[in-house]
Amino acid sequence: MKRLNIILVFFILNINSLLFSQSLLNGFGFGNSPSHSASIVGTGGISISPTFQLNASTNNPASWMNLKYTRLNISYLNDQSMYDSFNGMNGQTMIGVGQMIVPIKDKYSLGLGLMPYKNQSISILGDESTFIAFGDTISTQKSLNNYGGINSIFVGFGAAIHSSHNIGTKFHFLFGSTRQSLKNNVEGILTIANGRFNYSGILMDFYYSSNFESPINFSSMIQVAYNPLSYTSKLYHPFDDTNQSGYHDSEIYSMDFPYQSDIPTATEGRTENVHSPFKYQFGLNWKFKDNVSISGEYSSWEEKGVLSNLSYILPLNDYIMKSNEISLGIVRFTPNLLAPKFLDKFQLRSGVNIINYTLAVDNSPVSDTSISFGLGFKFKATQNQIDIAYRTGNRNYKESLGSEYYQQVMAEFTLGDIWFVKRRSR
Amino acid sequence: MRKLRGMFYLPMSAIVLSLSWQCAENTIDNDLTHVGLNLDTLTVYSVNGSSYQTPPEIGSLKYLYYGSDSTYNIDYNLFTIKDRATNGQYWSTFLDSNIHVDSISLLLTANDSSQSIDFISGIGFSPEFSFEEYTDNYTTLDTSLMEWTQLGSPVIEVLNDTSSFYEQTNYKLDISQLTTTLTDTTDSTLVRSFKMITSSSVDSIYRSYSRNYSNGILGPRIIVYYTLITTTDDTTTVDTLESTFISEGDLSVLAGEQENDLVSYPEWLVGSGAGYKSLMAFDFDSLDLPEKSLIRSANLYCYASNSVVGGYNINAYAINIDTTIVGQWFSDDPFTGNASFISSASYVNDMFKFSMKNFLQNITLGNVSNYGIILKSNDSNDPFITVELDSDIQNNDTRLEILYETP
Repeated sequence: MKRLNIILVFFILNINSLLFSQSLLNGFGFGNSPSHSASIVGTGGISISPTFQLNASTNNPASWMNLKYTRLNISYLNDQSMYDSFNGMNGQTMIGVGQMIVPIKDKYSLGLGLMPYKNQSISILGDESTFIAFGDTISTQKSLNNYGGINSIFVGFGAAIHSSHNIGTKFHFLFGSTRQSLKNNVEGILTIANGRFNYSGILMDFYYSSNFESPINFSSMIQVAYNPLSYTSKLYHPFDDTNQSGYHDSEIYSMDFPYQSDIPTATEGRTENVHSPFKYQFGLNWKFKDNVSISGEYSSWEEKGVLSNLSYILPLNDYIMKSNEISLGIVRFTPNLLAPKFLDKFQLRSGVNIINYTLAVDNSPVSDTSISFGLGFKFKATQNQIDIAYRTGNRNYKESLGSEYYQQVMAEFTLGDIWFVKRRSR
Repeated sequence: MRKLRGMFYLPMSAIVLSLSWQCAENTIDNDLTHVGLNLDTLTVYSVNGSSYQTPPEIGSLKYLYYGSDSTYNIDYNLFTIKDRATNGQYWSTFLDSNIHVDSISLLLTANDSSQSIDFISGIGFSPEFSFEEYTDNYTTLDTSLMEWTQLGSPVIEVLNDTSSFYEQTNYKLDISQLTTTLTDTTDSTLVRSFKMITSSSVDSIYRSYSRNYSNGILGPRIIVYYTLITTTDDTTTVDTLESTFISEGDLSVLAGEQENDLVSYPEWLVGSGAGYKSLMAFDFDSLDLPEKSLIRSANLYCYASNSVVGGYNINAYAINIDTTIVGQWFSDDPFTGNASFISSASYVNDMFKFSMKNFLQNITLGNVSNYGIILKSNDSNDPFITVELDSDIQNNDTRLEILYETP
């Protein structure tokens, strides 16, 4: 019972954080997935090269078989953004990832998990303006509120096809919904137009990791859309929220206009191919000293989806068309000692990350530069692990949006257990 | 088991830490001109109309009228009395042997101190004559077919308040001779109808309260004064009481001045006494606004070409049948107003401003068709005023102004 209560609180708090969180990037289209793992955040976004443990990355199924134990990990991200152009600040907490990774006899790996793919929560307040109608000056102000986003249930497989070559694949089953509420305050009375969008799509990742004896190894990844993201939409007729309840109430209880019984049911539609990413990524990992490695990665991401004629309102009237990312990170792993000292149980991470986004409509760049630090702590024989990462940086948008300074703290908890290993009989 | 417990406690700790870090919700200030809900306007100048005439529909007015002037002549008023008194008693109550009816009076009340002479020449009674208050008129009623028991002329009582200021005038007629008829329970078809005939010497129009004024207690009514004798054991109690029976229908029968069928009215006319109504149509259909537009306001402006004294209200009803006016006179109104789309406008600054918001919104939603509207006099108006609306669309400002938001 107590555990049930804890689970309940856990979900309520996470739902709360998804409802009331925003970054400017949430307003640009359907791509740009947030960071999911503390080991990745702590090394500046290095995601396919080993950063979690020696020879293993939490994101790369081609490296999962190098894990010694079955892993169950959950991460949480706390994100805070400050905007210089309008002196605002927003905070958000959200789950980073919850996944289970099962290495099978050092040759295969299996993993599945759940993670947010795209947070679309954003609240925008438009400029006050006036409209002259029939000689009267009418004041108006619009606002747009987005709630929700896209999540991914993923399944990953890895295999060591050769002693030096590992491959892996991951399927992301995208789902989720967004509610949009567009409001126009006309002389104190709100007009509200609501829309709801339910997403579905499947993405595929292909991974390769080398496993050479040499200190330098190579990793790569390609992501394509197996079934590009589509959505079904429900667009509701606008109404005057005369009683200011925020909802289109029945005429029995209010005088919202038009009467609920007068309007038709929501217009339903389906829009295909709104998000179809093509991403490739490769990285080099140099273990230049026992338990210390430097990694560098480059990735290119491009939106191949068709975003014209959307019924979904792009909150910032633009979307990310492509991005290029460079990450550099250094990790000091815990030595594999039978009787480690206390300090040997810690992992240290640091990194820098540079991303350049290109927006489709006005073609303006968005630059994102950050540095990060991470700390991991291994304990118990099955190598349970707690990882904490801190990242700070800033994103520079076009002039009207200015700069967004952000800092992130991510905590990740990993429990290990032995599966598919033959135990010695007593 | 301990590991599983840890799986829940550790995330909880992280969440508490996360939430204790500054969480805030500031809206982002940004341009939203690219989204919908933009205001726009549409003005429809193409407004056409025509007038027609029906028998007066004045059954629901708050007053009963009597007298005549150069235009109107009201020969008589009709009213029927209810079977149940305001105190819950029925006429049959007075058949009780413990009740003795002392007297029965018929009363009408006016608030006009000038009615100090008797404008009512006589009152007749019929236990058989019935009428419909809201639909009958001088063309459908023929009171001569019935035999009316003449009850005589009422007397006038002028009532003043304690400060000797005029309060009201009562027309009072003793009708005790009808006690047996009024309390007759054997006649299942009994109606208690009265016909109030105006004195021929009246050269102006006067009025008294009808049952539609307030709760009806000042309208035509019968008051029964009676004595109730109650005997219990050795005690006999005698109470002097009264019961008031108010009207359940009353109607001034106004003989309308029927215009020649070929008359073409120069203006759009509205007046209940003369039976004038106007039909207006404007060019607006469901495609005139973008789909899912929300109408913020829609006002139809009509200008009066004659001066209206004392205020005037016109009701506009949407018409739900497609009918073209042929001729000007109709014994039955060919147009049915849709009660769901009614708008009332008062006479202000020489014009009437009707809100068409709900009607037009439902046109855009496809719920109704635009067959136009019908303009009728409101029940609160003086029925003897006729408003002339300027129909010269070349020179007047009759128009429909629509403010809407695009989706």
